[in-house]
Amino acid sequence: MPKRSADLVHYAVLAVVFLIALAVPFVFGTLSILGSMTVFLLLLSWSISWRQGDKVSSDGKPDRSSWLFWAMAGVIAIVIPIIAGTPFLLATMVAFFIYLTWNTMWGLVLGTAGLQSFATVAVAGIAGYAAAYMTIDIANSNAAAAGAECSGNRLLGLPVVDWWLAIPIAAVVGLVVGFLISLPAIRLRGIYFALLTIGLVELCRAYTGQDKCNLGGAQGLFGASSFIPSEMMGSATGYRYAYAAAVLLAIVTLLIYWKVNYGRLGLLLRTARESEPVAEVLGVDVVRARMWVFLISSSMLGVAGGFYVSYYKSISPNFFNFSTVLLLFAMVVIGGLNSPRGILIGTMLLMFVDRRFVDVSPPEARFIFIGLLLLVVTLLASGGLVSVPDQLRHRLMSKGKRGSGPSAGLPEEVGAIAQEANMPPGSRPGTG
Amino acid sequence: MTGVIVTTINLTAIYALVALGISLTWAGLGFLNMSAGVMYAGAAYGAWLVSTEISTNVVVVLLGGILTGIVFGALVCLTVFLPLDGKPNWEIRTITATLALSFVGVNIYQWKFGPQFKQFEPLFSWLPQFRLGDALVKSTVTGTVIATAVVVTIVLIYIGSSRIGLGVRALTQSAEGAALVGINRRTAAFAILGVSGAFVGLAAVLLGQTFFVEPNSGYVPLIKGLIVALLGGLGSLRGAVIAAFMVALCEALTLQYFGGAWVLITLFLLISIVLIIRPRGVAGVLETTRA
Repeated sequence: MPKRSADLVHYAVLAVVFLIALAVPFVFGTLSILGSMTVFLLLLSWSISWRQGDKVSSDGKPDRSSWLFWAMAGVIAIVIPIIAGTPFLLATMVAFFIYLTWNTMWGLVLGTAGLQSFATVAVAGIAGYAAAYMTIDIANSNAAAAGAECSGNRLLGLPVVDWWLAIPIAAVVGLVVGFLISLPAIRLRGIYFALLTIGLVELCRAYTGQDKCNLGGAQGLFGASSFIPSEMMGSATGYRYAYAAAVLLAIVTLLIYWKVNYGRLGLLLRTARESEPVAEVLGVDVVRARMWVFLISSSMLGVAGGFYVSYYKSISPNFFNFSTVLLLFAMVVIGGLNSPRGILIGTMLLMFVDRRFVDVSPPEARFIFIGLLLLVVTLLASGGLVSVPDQLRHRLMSKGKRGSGPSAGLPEEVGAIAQEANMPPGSRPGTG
Repeated sequence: MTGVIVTTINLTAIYALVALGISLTWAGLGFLNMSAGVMYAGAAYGAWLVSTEISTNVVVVLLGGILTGIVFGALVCLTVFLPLDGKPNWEIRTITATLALSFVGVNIYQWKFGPQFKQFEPLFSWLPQFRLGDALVKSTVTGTVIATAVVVTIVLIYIGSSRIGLGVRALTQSAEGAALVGINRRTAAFAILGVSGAFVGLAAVLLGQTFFVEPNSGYVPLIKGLIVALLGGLGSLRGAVIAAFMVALCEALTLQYFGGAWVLITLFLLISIVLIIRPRGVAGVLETTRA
């Protein structure tokens, strides 16, 4: 078949899949659009990477043909409130965009920089608590309830502010926390850093549950100032307003991801991730680059934390539960943590599974399913769902040219590097 | 003050067990077993079932916990190590797979056993209690120390004298060296995860004497086991024991002078300080000598 007509057939098939995906909510209810669009975007991403072949590496320069993917993602974001704009679905989508923001920024640290940080939830939560504290006069409302225990004074005599000031404050708090977290990252490596950050999340949960006077103890803080005007609250207009704001948040986040990941900083970080000694020899200031990625991602995590509080109007110690960390982690890795496409698809997929099966009995079945899904994808796909075409192609290539090793057709040195990359970390020489 | 010493010794024994399992897995197989918590809770449920269905005899219950732990270790080997061994992105994929496994496990417990607390019959009430200075040494503490000492000794003898143990030791020294002399990594993997499961299972029964068993009860031992293993320096068994003592002492002192709510906070400060001074842990020489 000539190339042009093959292209035509290809796009026609994708268009048909898209139309089917659009029709699904009319048959199976509005929530199913999240699932059908996940399937469509995954197929689209697979077709793009399959056709691209080996021309572009899985993470490296921005792949030019991915414009189609992001254009379609934009179309979907516009189409959803039009054809499935129920308050329930719009509320789900707002939560989705908040998660997407956290996950994309986590992907920057976990994927691009290759730092095993679990502090995402801690940064977002601390910033969220800060935003909630700034908009709620907890000291006065609590002083009555808790009696003489609490002084009734706000910390440092801080004034109570509105949401539009609380969200920038949350960003600054995120920035500061991110800076503090980046300090041990200079000395600690891999697993050691992972543990320290898991411990940090646990510490946050323990502390917020203890501090009744300032942070409301186990109940947390509620009644924060909302960005939805009070006359729109609870109405369909209010949900559409929140949806638009959340889309804006996600767009800003993706632009930041793009700028960092495909810019100079991303290049430096990936060099340092692959080999720190090489990066240093090349004159890369590894410490500085890593500090930057923490500062950038943490301030955005803080913004999303403030946005979360301003939307839900409350935050509690449950925010720091390990299951939250696990769910977000699953969202980041299941799609593929080295590409924004993977993070988008992973977040959509697990968001859909989480919400669609929310009333399944027993309630544990949903989490068991999510866990098994994560396990199966991790065991079978080397770099998440979006990496499947690359993996398949490599397998087919090595089958076709058996006898010349797994990386047939590559120069000898590249083959050796590829083989070394397959070894477990403990056995790899020169990397600590 | 002697009360602090007694608590420290008790906690040292239990934390050292969990940390030894985690540390051995890291040294021999090169991955961090995040599902140690779910192995712990599973072994606790196993031992609890044994004690309610079969016998409350101390040896039977302990064996029940240890055997369930070994089964869980083999399960981790089958579902995580064997499929991922030698595959790309090993580090992040093993963490993800073991986390996924623990997510599945906790929810299965929740579903099968419900959120209610399960309590063990006291196992060591036949042991005498005695006074040490101004503190009462409960029979549980004596039992914990004896049981830990017996099991650790048996395992050390097994690793020190059996053929599989020889393979395990070679693997913890150098993966390439072990491969060169023809050691089967997969057989050794079962041994390593089995031993680590046995340790975790024993810890579950022993700690089950003081704390209730519930679906999430493996989470705190996992975190503490990780803290101890890292503080000791991953892969160092001696370091794990020293770190277990440090963590237990820190916890006992905090309990005595500040109260239970502060335990995590002081522990976090302790690990931050130790890891900033010694980024590879107390005895973490392994990785530098390997490289």
